[in-house]
Amino acid sequence: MKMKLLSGIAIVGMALVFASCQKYPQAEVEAANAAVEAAKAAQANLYVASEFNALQDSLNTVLAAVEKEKSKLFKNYKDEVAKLTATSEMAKNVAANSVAKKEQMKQECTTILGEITVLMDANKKMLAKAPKGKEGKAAMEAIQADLTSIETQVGEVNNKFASDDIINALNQAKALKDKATSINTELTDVMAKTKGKKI
Amino acid sequence: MARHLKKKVKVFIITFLASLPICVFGVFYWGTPEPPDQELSRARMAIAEARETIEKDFIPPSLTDAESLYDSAMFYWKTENERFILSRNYTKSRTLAIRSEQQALVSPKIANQNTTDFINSLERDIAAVKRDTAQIEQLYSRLPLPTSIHKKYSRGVILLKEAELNMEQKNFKECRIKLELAKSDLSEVAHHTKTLLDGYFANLPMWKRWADQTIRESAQKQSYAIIVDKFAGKCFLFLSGKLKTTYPVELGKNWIGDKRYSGDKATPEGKYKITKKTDGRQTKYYKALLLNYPNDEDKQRFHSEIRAKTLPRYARIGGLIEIHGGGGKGVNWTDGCIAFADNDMESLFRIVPVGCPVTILGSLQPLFEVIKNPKP
Repeated sequence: MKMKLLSGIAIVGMALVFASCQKYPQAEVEAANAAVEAAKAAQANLYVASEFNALQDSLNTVLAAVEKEKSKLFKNYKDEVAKLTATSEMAKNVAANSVAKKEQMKQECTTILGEITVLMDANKKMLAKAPKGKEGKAAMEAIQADLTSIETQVGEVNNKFASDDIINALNQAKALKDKATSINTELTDVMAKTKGKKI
Repeated sequence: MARHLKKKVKVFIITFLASLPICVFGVFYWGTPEPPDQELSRARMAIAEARETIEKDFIPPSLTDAESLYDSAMFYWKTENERFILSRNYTKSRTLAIRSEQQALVSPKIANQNTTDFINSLERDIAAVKRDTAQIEQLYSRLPLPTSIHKKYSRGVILLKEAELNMEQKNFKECRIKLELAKSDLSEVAHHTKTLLDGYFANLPMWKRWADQTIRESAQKQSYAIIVDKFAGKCFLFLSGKLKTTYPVELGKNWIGDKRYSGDKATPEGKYKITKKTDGRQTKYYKALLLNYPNDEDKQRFHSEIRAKTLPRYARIGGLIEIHGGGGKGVNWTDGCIAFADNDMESLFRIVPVGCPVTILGSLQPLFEVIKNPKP
């Protein structure tokens, strides 16, 4: 009886020693790191900065938890594996949100560029209809310079858009639309004045 | 006896094997060093809080240092974890984590001061540029400026708008870049405008003298007199030295400065008289009052310029400067004449006689007054 008891204790002891050697979740750690890197590559730090910061925090927390577990005599990575998997999922969502946000900004930029084109066409048509006399010429000269400036800058917006500098492209496009709209208003006023009174 | 001994040995071996794991466990349990997780956790929280508080454009070196120290602490923790459990030493990792926390904790204070100063200076600068731009805009829309200056103005206004958008989005550094570019363009326009106007308004004492003489003569002769203020875009009709009516007028496209030669599209400045009244088929512009441009002073100045070679030999002095109808366009468009709206021309034409003095001058007000109260 005594022998059986001692054998049991020996087996349990050995089992405990072996249990302390649970495998480090290398694959999950690598997957989580890769997912966060992928989110960064999707410019999440630019387009969804606060989400990306939260993601980075949760990765740091879970990596520290893994390391804490690794420091223990008896390791159990079950919770950490679950957290690493959740972090990977979160990173995928953040990357997707970043792509969506960027796409939305691209869309907005394209829409504004379209609106600028419409405004510029309208402005050019009004310019073409301007009185041919010297009074018309005097009024339109400054506006023509503005239109040329806008056209040059629309080119700059397209370059920024092509080089993926979407935030700056969008801001410049908004400013250009503002200017094109004010020219449209000004042109309409000048046209009304010059049209109304024929010499 | 031998059997009894054999059993004792067996019991001893089993007891030894059973107590070995317990001893090993005891050694490992009490001998394992405490990991630096608490210190790292505090450092991580301090970094996260600092990141949350600090605007992305104002992350101070202390926070970057805190992050590097945290990474190093993690690295040394991992390195130690690779070693045999009893020979691990987390002191270095722990020290780095504590330093990381300290750096992270001081970061918001450093950043807040920088951020507040930077944002305040940005807000001040944006307000100043907007104010200057509004002032330029009011003057500028009426000044004959070269296309290159016009383009700079246009670009400056767009850049200013971009700076404002970046400010809204808290992209403070980008905002500063755009604002500086806008300032550069707009200050060039302001400088050009100021130089042009300072030079022009140097004639103010002479213009005031002309105006006083004209009004005095009108009072003495109990007659009509006309004063055209080019900068104000107004024509003042006096009778017996008293202001009777004010009319809006339009001038030559290059109206700033005196007329120098034929085709310069400038409206002359000086003291003239109406020499002829024309209407019907005699004029293109509804009704017209012909002036005696060039007068003796104009001729003298023109010949001096030809002699000094500041004008080409083939330049002509020009003539046929009139006050005529066809105005009311809202722009300065004539070749140098003074244009009235037809109904105003009708009333002036009816009142003023041939010989009526017409004084054309740059401005009746000093430049600072003009800038303070620009024409709407």
